[in-house]
Amino acid sequence: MSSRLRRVAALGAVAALSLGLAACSSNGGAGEDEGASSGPIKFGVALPDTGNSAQYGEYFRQGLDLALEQINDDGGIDGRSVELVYEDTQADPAQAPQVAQKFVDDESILAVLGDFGTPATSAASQIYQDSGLVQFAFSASGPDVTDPGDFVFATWVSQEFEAPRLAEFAGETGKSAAVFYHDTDWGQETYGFFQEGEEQSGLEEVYSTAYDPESTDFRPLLLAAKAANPEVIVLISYAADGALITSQARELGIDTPIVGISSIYNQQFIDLAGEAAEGVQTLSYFTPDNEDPEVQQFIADFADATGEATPSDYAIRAYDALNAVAQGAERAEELTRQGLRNALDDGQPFNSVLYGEYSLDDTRRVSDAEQFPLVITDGAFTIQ
Amino acid sequence: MTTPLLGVTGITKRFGGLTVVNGVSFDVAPGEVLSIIGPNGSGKTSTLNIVSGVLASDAGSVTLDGVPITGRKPHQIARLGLTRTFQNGRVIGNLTVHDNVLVGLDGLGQQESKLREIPGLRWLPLLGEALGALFAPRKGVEQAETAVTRQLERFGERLAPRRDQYAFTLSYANRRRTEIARALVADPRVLVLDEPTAGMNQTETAEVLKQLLQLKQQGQTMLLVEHKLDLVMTLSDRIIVLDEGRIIAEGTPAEVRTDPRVIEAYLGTAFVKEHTHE
Amino acid sequence: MSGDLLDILLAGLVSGSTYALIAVGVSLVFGVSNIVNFAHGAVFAVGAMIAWWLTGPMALPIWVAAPSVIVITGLLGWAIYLVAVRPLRKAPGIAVLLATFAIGVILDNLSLRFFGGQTRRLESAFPRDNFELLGFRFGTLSIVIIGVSVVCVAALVWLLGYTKTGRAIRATSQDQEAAQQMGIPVERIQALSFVIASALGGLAGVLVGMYTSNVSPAIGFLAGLQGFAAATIGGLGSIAGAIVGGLVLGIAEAFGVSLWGDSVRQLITFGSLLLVLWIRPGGLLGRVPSITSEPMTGTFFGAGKPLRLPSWAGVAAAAVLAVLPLVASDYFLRAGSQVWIYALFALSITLAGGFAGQIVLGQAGALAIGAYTSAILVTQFEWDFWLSFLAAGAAACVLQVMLTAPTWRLKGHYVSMATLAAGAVVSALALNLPQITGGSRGISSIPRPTLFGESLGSASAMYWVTLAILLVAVVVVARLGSSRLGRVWAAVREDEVAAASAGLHPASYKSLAFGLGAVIAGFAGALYAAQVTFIEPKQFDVSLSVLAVTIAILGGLRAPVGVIIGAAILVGVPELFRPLADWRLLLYGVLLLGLVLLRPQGLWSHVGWLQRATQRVAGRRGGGGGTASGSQRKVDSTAGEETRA
Repeated sequence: MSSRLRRVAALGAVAALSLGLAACSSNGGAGEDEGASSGPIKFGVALPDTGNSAQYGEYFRQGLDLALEQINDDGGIDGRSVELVYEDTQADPAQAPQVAQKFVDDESILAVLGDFGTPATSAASQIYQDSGLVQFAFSASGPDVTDPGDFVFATWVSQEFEAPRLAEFAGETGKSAAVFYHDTDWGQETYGFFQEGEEQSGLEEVYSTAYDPESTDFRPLLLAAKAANPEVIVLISYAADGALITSQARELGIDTPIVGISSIYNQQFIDLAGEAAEGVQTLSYFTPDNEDPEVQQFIADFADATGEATPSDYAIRAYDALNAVAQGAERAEELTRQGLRNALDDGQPFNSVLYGEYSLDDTRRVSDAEQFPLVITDGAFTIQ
Repeated sequence: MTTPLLGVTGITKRFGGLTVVNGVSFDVAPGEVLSIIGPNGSGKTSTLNIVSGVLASDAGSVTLDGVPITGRKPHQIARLGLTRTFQNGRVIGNLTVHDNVLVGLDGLGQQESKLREIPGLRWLPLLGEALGALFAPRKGVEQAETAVTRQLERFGERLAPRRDQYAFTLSYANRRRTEIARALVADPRVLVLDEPTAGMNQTETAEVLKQLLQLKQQGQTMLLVEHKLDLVMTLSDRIIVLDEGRIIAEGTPAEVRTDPRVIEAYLGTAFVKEHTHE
Repeated sequence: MSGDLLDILLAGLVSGSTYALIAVGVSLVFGVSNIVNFAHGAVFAVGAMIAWWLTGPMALPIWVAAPSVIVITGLLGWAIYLVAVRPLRKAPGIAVLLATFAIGVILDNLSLRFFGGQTRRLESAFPRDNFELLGFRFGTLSIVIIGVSVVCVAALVWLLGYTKTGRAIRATSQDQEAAQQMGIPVERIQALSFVIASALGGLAGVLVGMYTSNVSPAIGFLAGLQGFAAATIGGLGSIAGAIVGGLVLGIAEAFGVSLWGDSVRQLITFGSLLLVLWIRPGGLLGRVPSITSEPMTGTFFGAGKPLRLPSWAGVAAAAVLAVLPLVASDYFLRAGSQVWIYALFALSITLAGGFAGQIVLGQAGALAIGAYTSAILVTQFEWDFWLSFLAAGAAACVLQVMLTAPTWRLKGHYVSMATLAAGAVVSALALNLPQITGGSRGISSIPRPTLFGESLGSASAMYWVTLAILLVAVVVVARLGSSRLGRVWAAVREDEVAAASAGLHPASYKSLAFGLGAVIAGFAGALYAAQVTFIEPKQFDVSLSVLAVTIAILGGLRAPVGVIIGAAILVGVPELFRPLADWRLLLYGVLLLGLVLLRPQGLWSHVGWLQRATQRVAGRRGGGGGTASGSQRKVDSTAGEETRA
């Protein structure tokens, strides 16, 4: 909740009564852009700039701006420069349809990246699909996210693969687990697959609880977990709330090992949890220790651009997403909305920092990718 | 004496340590006009408030035509046929004079339904009212208009020409008249008036007195609190005198006028002289 | 096991003490000024963020940072008083409430722009885990928090009981008018209460921020609501009550959360708030609210008479709106149908707030019930949308009427707060009944409605459908307003006692207005679900309820047509601000504040010279009677003595 009137900013009617028909007529003649094959190539980005999820919007911009700069420095796509058109949705499903319609109406937009989270992404999908505009969802993990149709792409590896792997990984640390998971569609979904993984890997679940990511006091939950005597605590969390649980656990004198899902891979986790972060383990698609030169180059460039040594999971996903769409555009036979869609769906691999080389399956998702076991030592994620 | 229309027995009200009404009992017979007088703070208005249900009594009972109404809510008592006006004239400022009077019928003109008194089912007749308002807005309007016009005309040229003015634009005296019209419009069995002429000049008071006498002639039972003794003496069949929450005297105007306790507590000797030498 | 229970009890006490610290400020302002200060949470968050900024990036020691925060937030409190409270001192509570809400939006978003949206770590100046009691670890910090709360109470008790200023504060809180006549500088005293309360709020931000260790500009609103709930549970206006309320709430939450999980937290907070208001409206320690009928609407919002729209003009305007799809872009239409849905939603406020005078702040609850009813029936039982649409209205009405049944004997702020709590309980229930509502996953892929077999998914079809329903609803509501019921509502709204003495049961008619409003909000909910195609409990929060109220007020609270204008501006203009992305919500806050300060009677009404002129003419004809506000004041002063206790 908290940020007020996220929805206020919602939608709306536009100049409607105040500006009257003037607004309509200017919107009415959008068709002329069709022939603009020499101007810049435009992609839309739907993201939260304000509201509760604003910090994820900031991460997105870090990655997108860096990718954009690099693409344009390399001469753009087919000699045309690339432009991004940002629209704030506050990651609010009530606002997402309007923004989607706005992008759809602007014929110069060839594809849209975003939104943050499955709710806002899914709320817009039908409009993109119906109008034939690519929605490249790089931060939506829901298992049904691409169901609306062939214009919707998703690069988040389904939890179907990641969560059981996390269970197995946690099982290496302890035989019995206390599980804390986000009370969101993402957390619930992940926890479901995690439970399947528990069965396969013989990890015993002695306690589990969903929690509101905006809560600030986890002590009652931690005390209940402590009473169950788990050998490992599993966090299906984002960085900020995961860090809070970690530091409050340590304060309560609970020194059970903690294992977190890949979303906690974020310098913020270490900054927020401080000392308590030491020894926390995670499985991550990304590691700065990866010797791949492309990854090393990215880390250096990212540090140059933002001054931050450790790019967050979200910034990397955004960076990869723009590069993937750009690669699709390079491959497209004809640079139209339909042409771009076909190119993205042609089965050829994409290069990325997060997953290395990957390709999309027939539901237009990334099927699976390699993860690295990391542990926080001396204030940094290091490979185990 | 016949069965009292209004029977009040031993009502009592305490505010903190202060007893403002202390075991007050009286009866009002059909067609009778009973007045309550007494110095400021003697508990007159509190007595009216208890009778009309606005204030809960700490002890005692009130009956209306033999039906106990103690502890009933004001709207229930009004529906049973006891309506009232207020000391300061409570009209609804953002309604016209005509609509203010109609409000008196809105509550009482509705069909009496037992469902209204059952918390869970109260909504059914309400829903009926809403549907009625939407689909049969003209139902019963003619009858109501007649009743309203009759009440407005009671006050001669005072209210009738102003029927479509907002009540907040009215003079003080006209607000009082509007209020009386609202209380009368549904033909109450008992009309309770709290200082109906407060703030009126002599001419206006005389006019109201004339109208109240007319009502009395028509057989209207009234319970009245009033400071203006001329009016009280002329209008009342009986008078009770309150002091510090107790009845200190009761009787016809002539009896009360000469009661030494009343003179001491309230009337003052000057008044008695003036009125006995008339 | 008893050791565990003790642990949880202690954990509850410690977190309860943080609620208490926030609640003290809320209660102080309410006690002195009779104002519900919705900006308090924002001040709290600003205090926490300034503390982070001073100790983090600025690297100042905490003994410099903490006093600086206290000074800055104290000044902020003074500024809030000057901007949002003093100009509205003659206005009813709801105006000030909305103004402080607007200030909260502005502060939150200024803080977001200045400090960034990220969650930061506020280093604690005191250890958090250096003590152990019966196996429960806690730290000096917890003792400091409890200590500061106790010292605040002691200091306030001393201030109120033994100083001249204190006597002035108490006198002011009991009867402002009388205090004024006694020569007490009421305004200065109220300003002082804002300064003290806000400084305390800032200090709470520092200490609570240290306790939770994570701070961000977004933490204020929830903290403010929890502080408000704690203050009400303890008894608004009672400082000791604020502490008791905070501790009770903290302990109840700790046990509830450890037993049933984190999702019951809101249910406990707002459920207990609702229960207290039902059973003991004065709170645990407070007096039963003295029923000095403080009209929430009264002359302030009522001053403007709705403009009368000639029917040819109405038809012409409707026709223009109806033909827009022929020329307008899809984006415009998509946004347009959203505006119509919000206008329909706000129309429910016109009924309850405008007609019956009950400012309800939980209408998002009715919207949620409607949205869920329709979505569940359509997705799980494959009902036709239009049947589910009717069911949505009915369900919203029945549930909301039941949930608010005990509310209508309350008055003023208490109605607003009880309905706010009822609305929050609905959204908390949606979260806690995953078998029915899908819980936090929500309900996705809600199909678009169809009509005679045609899908209404296109932008223009949705636009037409929502517009048509809105127009019908506006006509129905306008008809109700000019019917016998409109008159009854006016009587109940303006003088409950007089209405009751005319045989009208005020609670019944308030409930009727609210229930009919809930039907409309339920319809709006069904359309909302169809438009957004995805619903989850968090969409239906307090902010949404406040939005509905502000749309209705902006349009003119008693003018059904006004909601169209209100929604176009409050929902449409932020869409115009879209290019300003980051500043959008900030501008919304400024717009809201400006509205409350400058045009409280709404746009769809005439007031000012026109009304003054008509009054003068009418007054002359009526024999020089008082003005509207004069009569209102008279009614108010007698309300106390003549109201049933």
